[in-house]
Amino acid sequence: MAQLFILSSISLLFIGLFGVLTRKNIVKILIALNIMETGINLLLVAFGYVENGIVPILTSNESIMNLTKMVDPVPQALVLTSIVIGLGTTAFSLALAIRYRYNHNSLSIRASEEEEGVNI
Amino acid sequence: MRDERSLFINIVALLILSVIGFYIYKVSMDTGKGIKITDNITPQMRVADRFMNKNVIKEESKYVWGGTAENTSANIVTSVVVDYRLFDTTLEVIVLFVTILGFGFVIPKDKRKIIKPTTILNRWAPILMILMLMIGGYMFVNGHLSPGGGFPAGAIISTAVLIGVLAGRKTLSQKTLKIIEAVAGISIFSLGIASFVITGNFFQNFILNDRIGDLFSAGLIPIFYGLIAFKVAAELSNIYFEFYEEC
Repeated sequence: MAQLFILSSISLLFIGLFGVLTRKNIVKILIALNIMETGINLLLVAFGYVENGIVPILTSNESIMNLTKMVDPVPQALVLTSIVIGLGTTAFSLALAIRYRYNHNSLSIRASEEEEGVNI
Repeated sequence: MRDERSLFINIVALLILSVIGFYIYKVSMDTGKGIKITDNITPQMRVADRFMNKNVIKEESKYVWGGTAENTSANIVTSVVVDYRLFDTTLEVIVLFVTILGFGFVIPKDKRKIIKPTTILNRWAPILMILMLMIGGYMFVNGHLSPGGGFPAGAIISTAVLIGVLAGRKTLSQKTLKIIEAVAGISIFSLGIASFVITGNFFQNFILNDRIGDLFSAGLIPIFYGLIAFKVAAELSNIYFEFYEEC
């Protein structure tokens, strides 16, 4: 099961990297960056995964006996941090994209070269 | 965007990335000596095990139910976020504040046109807003007992504000949002200073000795989570107002 998690998170990471490397549209690059971020979050949560684990919530007196069965809560807390900061950076980069659109009248990352007529 | 769909570039990128991805997968699944990344079955390999057994300092000390080890919240993730790593969480809120500040500086303030909302959206917006505010309030009140907490609650409340903005109804002014954000931020740090005066440690929980699992338990944790929820909601609502500001 941990293999499946790691395989899926690495494939998400590389789908995002593929998008960042090959696309020219800024919005598409930002979407690809968000896909990469999702892959990394999934990888972090997968490190805390336990086979047949239970949620790390104390519900009764018996749940203290099951501490070793609980999944690891620390990566989940870290992923909470990473999601919020990812949201902030995404909003900031979208604002930058809007500014870029106003300056160059295009969303391509080669807009300045295309204006000058350079043949790429 | 001429060569975006060029076949050659895409195939080369796919080949390189698949080779790198295969080797990273192989390394991460490697069963050699030393600490294995994917080994979650032996409890000693887990990060939180030492926290839960409280043997960070001494190897032989063990967890005692109802003792001094865990007297905070029933949800251990909340304990980690708002008690053990509260410095991390407050700095994260500050990072969010700074990014929203930069967003407000960078976004251009001209050539904005606003689409008039339809009748359906205008009529249904208050009903949806009430439901969303209810769910958001439940999430941060119950954050120390069940999954949820301040950040998701803030996101849900700000979505309710977004629906009001989209429907063209006057719900909140930007000045009110800034006051909410400032009051929440100042209260978090004044609670930290209060705990420094009372217990001697910054951000230490000073309301103790309550039963785990009650609604009014875990001392300062629900208060901190409520403040964080209001701060995050105000910050995220600011984004929507910036996008929709009339000029």
